[in-house]
Amino acid sequence: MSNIHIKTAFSSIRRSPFQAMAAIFVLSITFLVITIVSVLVYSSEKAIKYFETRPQVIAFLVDEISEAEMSSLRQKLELDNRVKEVNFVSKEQALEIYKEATSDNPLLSELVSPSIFPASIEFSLNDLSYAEEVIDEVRENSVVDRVGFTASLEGESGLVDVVNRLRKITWYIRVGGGVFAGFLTGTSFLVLLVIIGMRMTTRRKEIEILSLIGAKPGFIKSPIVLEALIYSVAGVFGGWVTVFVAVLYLTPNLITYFGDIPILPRDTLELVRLFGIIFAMEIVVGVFLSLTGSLIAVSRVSKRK
Amino acid sequence: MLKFKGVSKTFGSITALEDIDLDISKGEFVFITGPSGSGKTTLLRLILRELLPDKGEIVIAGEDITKMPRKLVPELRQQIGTVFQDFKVLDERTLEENIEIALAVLGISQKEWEKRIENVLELTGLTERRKLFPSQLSGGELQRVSLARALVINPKLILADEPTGNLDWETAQELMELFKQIHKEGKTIIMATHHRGLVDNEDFREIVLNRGKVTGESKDDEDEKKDKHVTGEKDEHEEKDEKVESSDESEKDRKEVADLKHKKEQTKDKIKLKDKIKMKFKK
Repeated sequence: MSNIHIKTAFSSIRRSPFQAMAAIFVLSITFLVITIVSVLVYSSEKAIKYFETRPQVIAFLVDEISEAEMSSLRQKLELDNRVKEVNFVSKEQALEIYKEATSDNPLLSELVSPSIFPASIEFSLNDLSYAEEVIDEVRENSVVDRVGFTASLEGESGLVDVVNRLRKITWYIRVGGGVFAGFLTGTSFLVLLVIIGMRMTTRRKEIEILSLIGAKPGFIKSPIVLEALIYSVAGVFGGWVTVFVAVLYLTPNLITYFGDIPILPRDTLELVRLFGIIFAMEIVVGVFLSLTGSLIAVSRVSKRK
Repeated sequence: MLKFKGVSKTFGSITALEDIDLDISKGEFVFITGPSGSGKTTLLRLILRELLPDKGEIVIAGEDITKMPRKLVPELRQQIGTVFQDFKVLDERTLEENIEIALAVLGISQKEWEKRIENVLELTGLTERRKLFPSQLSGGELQRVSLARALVINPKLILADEPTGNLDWETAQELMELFKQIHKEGKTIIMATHHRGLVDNEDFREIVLNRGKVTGESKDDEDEKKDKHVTGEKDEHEEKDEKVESSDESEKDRKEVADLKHKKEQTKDKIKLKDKIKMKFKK
């Protein structure tokens, strides 16, 4: 029996192709924006996480530190819930790092010995908001000479600045994207209402006949709701597939450009999984839109009768 | 099967039906006649629960449908086959799809569709036109589509609202033959019509409405014969046959009788033709 409803829904679309196209295009644009916003939110979250969890803090140790003192400090940090990935760098290792960094100028490395490099403990934080208090605590330790952030992030202010800036961008993407997507969703909802309302008006005679031959309200509504569902699914698919193809095309360039920052999954399966989740969420939104839109339109037109 | 008990219906200041009492038995063929605006269609619309009466009861199969909850109305309508004067066929669907929709409404399994559709198409003589759209069919054919759709659900009660209203005399008679054939299968048929010739040609019960009131009622042939047997009365046709034989009758009467006979002959010819066609199909 559902076949007859599907047939009716498709023939209704076929009879008014421009109305159908208008509905599908508007929904496609809406879901295109929703997909883009979702990907941007994911990428910015990943970028923040990346910066937050990098080995950020380096505690340079005094030269006279004993093995026991060093172990005690290390153990203390490892047991701290705010701290993760604790790593000890000896004087020799520090020299190696220096040599590697100055490999293009061997003269610089020849002039130094391990003794001039302090041993250090590097660690990252689970959340950057703990940075200040953890650094202060570590500084108070007598075996610690001084504390700083990784040089690549241009010191303490540089890291906080980067993370804060990223947080702000993420907030803008979330709020701005959300508002824009919400606005488009509202527009799609209204377009669906108008188109389904028009459909109901053109099918008024058919509805009257069906009612006279004993069709239940569910039977009469089914093809109309199905039609709205077809629009939504087509819209979701249109918007989603456009972004997915674009991301697949751009991924190699994006990965090269952002380097270590994992703004998108590098594993194709992971990428497909991410887009699968977005698609599933959009389908839920689309079904909700089409069901509420079509049912409201049907009840409005029925009341007018 | 169907009872009207003191049913009245008004539309504003216009009285469509006034204190109607009716009792229609199972398997009866009843004509509802009367001039336009006499309340024929209103009566049928009340049976279909398209309208609710202002007062009175309408009892179908023991249930007062005026008190029936709205959500049960579709189930009531699913048990009634309705043939409309304006056909009420779905323009965007083929003849076959128009019939299918009635089966889908009833929730009948698709496996059964083909057999049922074949049967009604054969009965109504529309087999060859099954893939055509309503715009490709004549008025008579459209009315037969409407009848086929009503029949396919195998209803016990068939309502026909002026089914011959848009048809010429010959097509109307053909359709009437179909109704008679269906009636023979035991269906109860209520036909609203103002086609006098059609009613006069048949010996079914006739309820005459005028300005919303039952102003006359004739019993069907069998009842009438029983009554005559008791009272010794002669029926209209018998009297008219006698008139033909009598040379004393006026010219006017002779013409009337001749017309009636001519119509009867035409009907007989049609039945023969139909039988021949059926025989051909069977072969």
